[in-house]
Amino acid sequence: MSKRFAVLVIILALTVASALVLSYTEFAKPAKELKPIGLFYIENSYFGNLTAKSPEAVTAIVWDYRGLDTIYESAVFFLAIVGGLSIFRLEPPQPAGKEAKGLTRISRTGTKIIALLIISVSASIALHGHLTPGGGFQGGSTLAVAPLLLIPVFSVTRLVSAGITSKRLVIARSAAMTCIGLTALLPVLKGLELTSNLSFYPAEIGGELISGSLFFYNIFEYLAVGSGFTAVFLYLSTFEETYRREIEKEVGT
Amino acid sequence: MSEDVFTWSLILMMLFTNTLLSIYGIVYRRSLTKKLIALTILSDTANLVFILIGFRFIQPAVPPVLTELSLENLEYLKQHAVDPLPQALVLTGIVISMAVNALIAFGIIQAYRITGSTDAKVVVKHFSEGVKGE
Amino acid sequence: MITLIHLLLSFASLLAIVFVYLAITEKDLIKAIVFSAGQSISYTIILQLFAAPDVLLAYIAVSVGIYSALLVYVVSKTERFDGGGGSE
Repeated sequence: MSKRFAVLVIILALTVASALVLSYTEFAKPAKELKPIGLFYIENSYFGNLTAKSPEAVTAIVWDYRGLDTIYESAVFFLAIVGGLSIFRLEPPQPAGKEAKGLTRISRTGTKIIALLIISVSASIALHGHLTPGGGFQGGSTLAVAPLLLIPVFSVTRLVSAGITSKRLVIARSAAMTCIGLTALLPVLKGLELTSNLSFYPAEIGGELISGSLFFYNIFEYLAVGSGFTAVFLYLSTFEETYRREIEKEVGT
Repeated sequence: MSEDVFTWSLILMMLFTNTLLSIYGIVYRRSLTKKLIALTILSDTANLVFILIGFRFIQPAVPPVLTELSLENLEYLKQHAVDPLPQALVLTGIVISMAVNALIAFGIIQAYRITGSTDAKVVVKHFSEGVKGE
Repeated sequence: MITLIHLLLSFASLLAIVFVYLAITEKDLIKAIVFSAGQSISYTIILQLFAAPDVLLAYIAVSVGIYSALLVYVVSKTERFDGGGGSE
């Protein structure tokens, strides 16, 4: 135990010493000016000629100026969920597993309150992603914490018998990804380019700024990411004996 | 020697040390789960290097967000805001590396079910025997 | 002049090195997961001081929430202890 801490102190001392040497020779100086391409995005994000009507430069880059990158990133995440489904597959009819009980009544009441708060905060993060820091993916991954709490507290069997199965959640994710694709594809029907923003979608609805397609992308990405993570946790939580029986049938050990 | 340069050098040396420690963890630890933990630390460190490139060390440094829709706020941002482009690229990078790490975790579970251990040598030997035996 | 930003950046950097070393050299994998979450929290302090709030929101939800949960699932379905160090 003391050998581990001795090596840790040596590593810390070496790091601080080499940082002192590096700063004495002034080898790496921090930058004080923006690069020209960063300046272009800050200037053009709301007030310029190639505008996205969004005061938040990072969301405008993610969904408007480099929107195709983000669509492919969502596709890569979908491939990971599908790959996990192929490992955790079960042939129907599934045998009746044992019943899990969950935790006490105090934990259940507390978790219900916290899950409602998590859902409302994550929806707020996702919906105002074009005005302040936030967005679809940030809200979706915050929403994924709510089923992570619900699964141990109310047991998995109770969630599945209430109708929340991983198959339905993958269907929900596919529906949300289809809506993202439609939002990107609709301008083509009028002769404009793919993933056009302000030439097709309105910048304001009823006096409120929605920055064109950025609002719709954020909503659908929020639903897609939230349901994707919930599907992964649901099929990870199935009991291991069920899979062990399937493997023994296939491998033949 | 100013404090800006010393803090910047300390952060750079910290990132270098973390990279070396996580590469040691990937190569020299036996358990597959420990290799996965070290891989997540390595990808987090690489993403932080990107954010470092876009930073300007002035006080105050603000995020690239317009707080009022006015032109003098835009002038203030041009003098004080950080670069928005590396942040957008790192967002995509976080999602993709999370997808790959999730697939590796599923692969570890399946390898344990088939071979009965998470020791890297045992798993490789079990699967390569089938190839040589053909 | 040394301001709060310099002190916080230095403190978070040293804390990150401590957590990374403890996570990699720990034999009990559940403790290693907790140390890895601690490393993510010290990286989040650095991200906030670098004025990157979008990246911070995505990073803390993924790294402290999703990775810790995924790794706890993996450890509960496989082995709990890292079986010795040593070269390959």
